[in-house]
Amino acid sequence: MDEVRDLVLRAASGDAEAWSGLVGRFADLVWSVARSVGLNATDAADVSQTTWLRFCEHIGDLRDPSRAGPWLATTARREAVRVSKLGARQLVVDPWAWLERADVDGAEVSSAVAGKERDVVVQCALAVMPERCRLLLQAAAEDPPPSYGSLAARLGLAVGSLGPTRRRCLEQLRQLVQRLSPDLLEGTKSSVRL
Amino acid sequence: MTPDDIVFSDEELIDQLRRLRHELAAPAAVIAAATDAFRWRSVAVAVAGLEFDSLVDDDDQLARVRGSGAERRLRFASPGRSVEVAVVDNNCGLAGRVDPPVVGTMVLRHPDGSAISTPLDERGEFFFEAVGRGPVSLRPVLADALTSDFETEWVTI
Repeated sequence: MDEVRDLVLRAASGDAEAWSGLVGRFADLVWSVARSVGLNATDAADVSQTTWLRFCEHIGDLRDPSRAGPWLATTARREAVRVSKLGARQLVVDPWAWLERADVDGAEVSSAVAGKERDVVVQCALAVMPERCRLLLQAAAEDPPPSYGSLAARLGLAVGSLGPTRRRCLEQLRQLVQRLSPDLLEGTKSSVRL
Repeated sequence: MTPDDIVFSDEELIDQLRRLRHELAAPAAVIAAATDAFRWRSVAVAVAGLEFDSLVDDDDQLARVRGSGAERRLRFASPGRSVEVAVVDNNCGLAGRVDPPVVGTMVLRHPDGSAISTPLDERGEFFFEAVGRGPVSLRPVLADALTSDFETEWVTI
């Protein structure tokens, strides 16, 4: 997480390249959070933009710069909940809409919510990983995956060390997911109403 | 969900990353807008935080429906100063007041750099018509000043 801290401190002192590094790491996370609340693409884009503008306003006074990921996720979730209510109030009111909601199976809803929360936690864990691991795992998720040769060249690693590095990075991702879950879920849950 | 629920095998994790990459990658325009947000970095300005938003902080749903109609009420505050705003739903008109009152101009900024302004009268009141939806921030500028040392947090209206 020290890489994140370093990027935050540099961006706070005016380094635009560090800011781009933060956007590169966390843009997917912020977007995922907005979408997970059920916003359409236009509203999710507004929420994403507001979240980044807020982050820019507060980047100099974050209590713990290494926790930029949870800060962004929590801010995005709060803003997304706000906008979801805004949208609902601007729709033509259908007085019978609640009947449809009452038919929804509770277990299915909980399972879908848990899946979305898991997505957000994994996105955040990936975003705060050391750069080499992050790039390696992103490459592993490409479809189709790159060849070992081209991946090794891209990351500056020997082909023989790709397998062990990949395993180590996945283990690190797993630990980060465990560590970030309580933070992310506690910080956001109270503001989510489904 | 407890942390224990999220224990995956290597292959499950890779599968999840693949799906996230496919379904939840931020579009290029969203990334560009996030990158662009850095232009708004200002270090010499006090930011009034969003302290109250009737959309999420007002639990009395019935009172909201019966009372002020379609208004959404926002309050931004920083030590010694605040801005209260009512958003009128239909056209996103903005009516508000700065406290303590200042005479001058209220500037409403959009993330793309465009801005509109309206007078701040002797009661510190201002009104914008048909602002439209999206992120905005307000910045009061005193009559005898060129710039401001005070602005509100960005909020989506």
